[in-house]
Amino acid sequence: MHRVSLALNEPALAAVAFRRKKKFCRGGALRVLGYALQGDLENCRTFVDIFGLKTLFAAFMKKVRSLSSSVSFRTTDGSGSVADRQNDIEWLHICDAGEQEHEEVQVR
Amino acid sequence: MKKYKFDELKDEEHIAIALASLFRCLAATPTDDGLRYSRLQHKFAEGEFEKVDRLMELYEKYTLRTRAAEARVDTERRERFDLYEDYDPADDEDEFLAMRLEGGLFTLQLLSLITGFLATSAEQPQVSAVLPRAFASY
Repeated sequence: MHRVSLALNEPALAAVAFRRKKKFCRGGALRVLGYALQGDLENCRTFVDIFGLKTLFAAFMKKVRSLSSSVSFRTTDGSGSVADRQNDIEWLHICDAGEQEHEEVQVR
Repeated sequence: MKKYKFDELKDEEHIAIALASLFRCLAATPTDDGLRYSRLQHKFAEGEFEKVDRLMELYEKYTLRTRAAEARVDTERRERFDLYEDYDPADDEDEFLAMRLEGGLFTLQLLSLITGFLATSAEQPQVSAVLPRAFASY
C-alpha cells in the first residue's frame, strides 16, 4: 500500500533515499530524481515543499553525507541515534503525504 | 560485495538534469511559484556564493571534457576521410553528435541553462551580480 503511494511521489522517495542510504544508492536516487523532475511541474513543487533542495544541493556540493544526519547523538539506552529516529519520523510523514497524492504536502 | 560503483560523471549529469528542470518548471509560472522559485535561487546566494563557485567549477570541467570529445571526433572524422574514397562526413554527423553529447556536451548544455536562469533573475540581484566575476575568474 505504502509502496504504491510512494511510487506516485517519486521526488519524496528519492529525497528519502538520499537520507537513509547516503552513499549506497545515491546514484540511483539521483537518477530517479532527474527523471521525476523532468518537465513535471507538480513533482518540482512537491520536491521544493519537502525540503528536497537541501539534499540536492548537498549532492551538488559533493558532500556525500546529508546535513540532517551529520550530527548524530547516541540516546542513553543505546537503541539508536536521534538522527535515525528523525529519519524514521520523516519517512512516516512522507508515507502519509504520498497517500494524499495531489493534495498539498505538509512535512513537519 | 559492494555493488554500487561511484560514478561521478553520471551523478553530476543527474544533478544537472534535476536542477535544470526545477528552474525550467518553477520559472515558467512565477505567479504561483514565486516563493519556491526564490527559495531555489536563494540557495545559490547562501554560504558566500559557494554554489555559484561550484557551478563555475563544473562548467569549466565540462567545457574541457567537451573540447576533448570534439578533438576525438575530429580525429575520427579525418581517419574515416583517409580510409574511404568517396566519404561524405554528413553520413556520420549523428554519430559524432552522440559522441560529443556523451563526452560532456549534454551536461554542459544543462549547466549553461542553469547559469542563464541565474544571470537573468531579477529576484536575486546579488547572484546575477556575482556571476560576471565568477566567469571572469575562470
